[in-house]
Amino acid sequence: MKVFKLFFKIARAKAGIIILYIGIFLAICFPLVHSSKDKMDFEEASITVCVINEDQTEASRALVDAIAQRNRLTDLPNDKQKIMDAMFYEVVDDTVVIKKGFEARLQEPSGDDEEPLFTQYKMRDTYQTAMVEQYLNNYIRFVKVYTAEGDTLTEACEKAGAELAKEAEVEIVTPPGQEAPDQNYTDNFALYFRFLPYLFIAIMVNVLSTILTSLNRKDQKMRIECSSVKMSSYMSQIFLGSGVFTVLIWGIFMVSGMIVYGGVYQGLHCALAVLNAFIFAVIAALIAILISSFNPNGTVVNMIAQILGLGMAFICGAFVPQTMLGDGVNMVARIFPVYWFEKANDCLAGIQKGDLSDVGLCFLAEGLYIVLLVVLIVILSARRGGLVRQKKAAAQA
Amino acid sequence: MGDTVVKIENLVKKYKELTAVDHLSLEIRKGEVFGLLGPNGSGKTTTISCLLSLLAFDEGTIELFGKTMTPTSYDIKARIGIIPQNVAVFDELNVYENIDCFCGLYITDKAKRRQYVDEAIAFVGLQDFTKFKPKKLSGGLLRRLNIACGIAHKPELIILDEPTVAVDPQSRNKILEGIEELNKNGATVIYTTHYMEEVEQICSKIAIMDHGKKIAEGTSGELKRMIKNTETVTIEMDEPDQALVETLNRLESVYEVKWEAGKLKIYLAGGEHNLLDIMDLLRTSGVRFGQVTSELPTLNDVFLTITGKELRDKD
Repeated sequence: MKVFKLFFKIARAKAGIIILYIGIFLAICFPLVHSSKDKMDFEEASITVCVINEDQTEASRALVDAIAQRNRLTDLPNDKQKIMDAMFYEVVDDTVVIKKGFEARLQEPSGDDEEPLFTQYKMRDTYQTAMVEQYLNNYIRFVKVYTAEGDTLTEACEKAGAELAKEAEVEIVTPPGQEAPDQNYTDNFALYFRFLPYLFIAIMVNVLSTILTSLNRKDQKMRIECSSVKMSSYMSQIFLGSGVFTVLIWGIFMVSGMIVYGGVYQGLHCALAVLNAFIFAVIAALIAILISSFNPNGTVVNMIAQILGLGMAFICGAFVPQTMLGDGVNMVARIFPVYWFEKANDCLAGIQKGDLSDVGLCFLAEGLYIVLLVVLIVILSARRGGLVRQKKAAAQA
Repeated sequence: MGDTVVKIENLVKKYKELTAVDHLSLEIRKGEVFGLLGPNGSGKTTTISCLLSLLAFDEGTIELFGKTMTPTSYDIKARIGIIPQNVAVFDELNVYENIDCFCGLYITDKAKRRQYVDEAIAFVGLQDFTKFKPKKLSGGLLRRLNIACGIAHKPELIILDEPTVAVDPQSRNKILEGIEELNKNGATVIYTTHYMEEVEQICSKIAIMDHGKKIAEGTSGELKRMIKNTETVTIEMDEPDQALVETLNRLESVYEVKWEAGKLKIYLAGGEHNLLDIMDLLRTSGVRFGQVTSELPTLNDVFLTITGKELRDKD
């Protein structure tokens, strides 16, 4: 098992790269998975508002109280420059000046060229300032409706304030077909698995490819061919080394996943996600083996790893979910194995419509990639063997 | 022949139209340091590759240790050490690990291997660099590591393919001394090079190759005796007149006189006291001259005489 040991001695020299990838990945993934737990909660927006009451009447004070029910009030002097400064430094989000004569004009019938009852200062149009504007308009409309129906101004202001103080009743509804099919494998945790293709490709290409390139470098291989080690044994030990390395990398990420998950994986969907990750780890390993058969140098390997890893991750839905990608992009992405990994993962987490038969189809597609890659590696190895012999021969001649 | 280590008979290796090795026959006996000398592209490395069964050949037979060599002759391969032209070590492993790795391809017993690796490190003088990665080593130290990787398992036949290319003089001497010591310890050595000085220094037998053919074989002395020239006298002087050239030509051992680049070259075949005779003649003729040198023939002269070209470009 000398070649097998040699494989892992070379791999040991690359341990730094693996640790770096795992460390950075976990550091990013852990908070990401856990911070997204409450993303479906609803909370009413509240902003800091300064209300300057120039009218100082019962109706204007009622409006100030109404605004205070939904927002935080703060005081500012009635000076435009100071108000704008406070808004620039984001001390307040919005400033409303209730103009003198507010109460009197509130009782007048509405006209077409009516002068505004308020002055609203704002630095820019945001949804908060729009909300305040809408609130004020609604308030005035309600008061006018209630007074038109015979209520006194005090009663109308009270009723309008009470009406607008009501909190919206919000029910979070998951669209049909998008319910989490297995509560053990939520869409939050599926994030961890979603990023794995990039990691697997980056590590396999950067590490496995360079190990194999080292072992297959012409001069080193010649030395091994001249030794008493049988070539069949040499090849099988390299194959075994690659297999064990793949399982190790997959295993490390599955165990790291448990740290993020908070225990041992539970349920069928988790098991299928783990299987999906294993199938993809094999695909990444085969891509690395395929690349190594071209004997690239370190810079080229790193470049290929980044292009393949990032390119497929972006286009196939690792960084942006497939549901948010355009139809054209998804259509093109189908030619890459990462697409099928992500689709299976999304179906398992309920992010995309799909049942277990769809997941099975994705596994089948990934399996076809494995067959295709194996065939390519065999063909290239055979062709390369012939080419190397020809080149060697030509060089020596 | 019980003591024949390598026997090559009528070896032919063709690459399409090109015949890289052309009916080559060699016999290398136990304990010899056999030099395979020839210019680049003369077929030396192809011969070695065929010898090691790394290349299939078209005609001929190759026997090592009395057995036919095939790609699966692992028992024979176990008795051979190869030191390739390029440094063939793993950049990821340090000096000790590299030697241990290649030694481990032959020696499975750990204790024995440790001893062999330590001996190989001491042999090439890399004791102070065992923890160094190859990238930290100088060119000369790298070559020594390359050699240590090939000899650690104590092979009976050591094949060195141009091991001193691009090596500083100090490391070159160390390598050549090492090869002589390996030979003294009982190893048979095949040494391919295009440096004739090295071959003359360490090889007990030499085969000169050109265009895939063996053009001469023998000891250094035997090869030099194959050519007419036994001595070349070079004299710094003004251009001689025709009369002086004719007088020199009439000397018994002189067979050619040439005026080249401000120097008079007198080629001699056999004879005794040639230099004294020439000096006397110049003095009596009243010729003024400067530096006088006398050179014995080299293997390059042998190669030049046989092929009409230099063994390698002048440095």
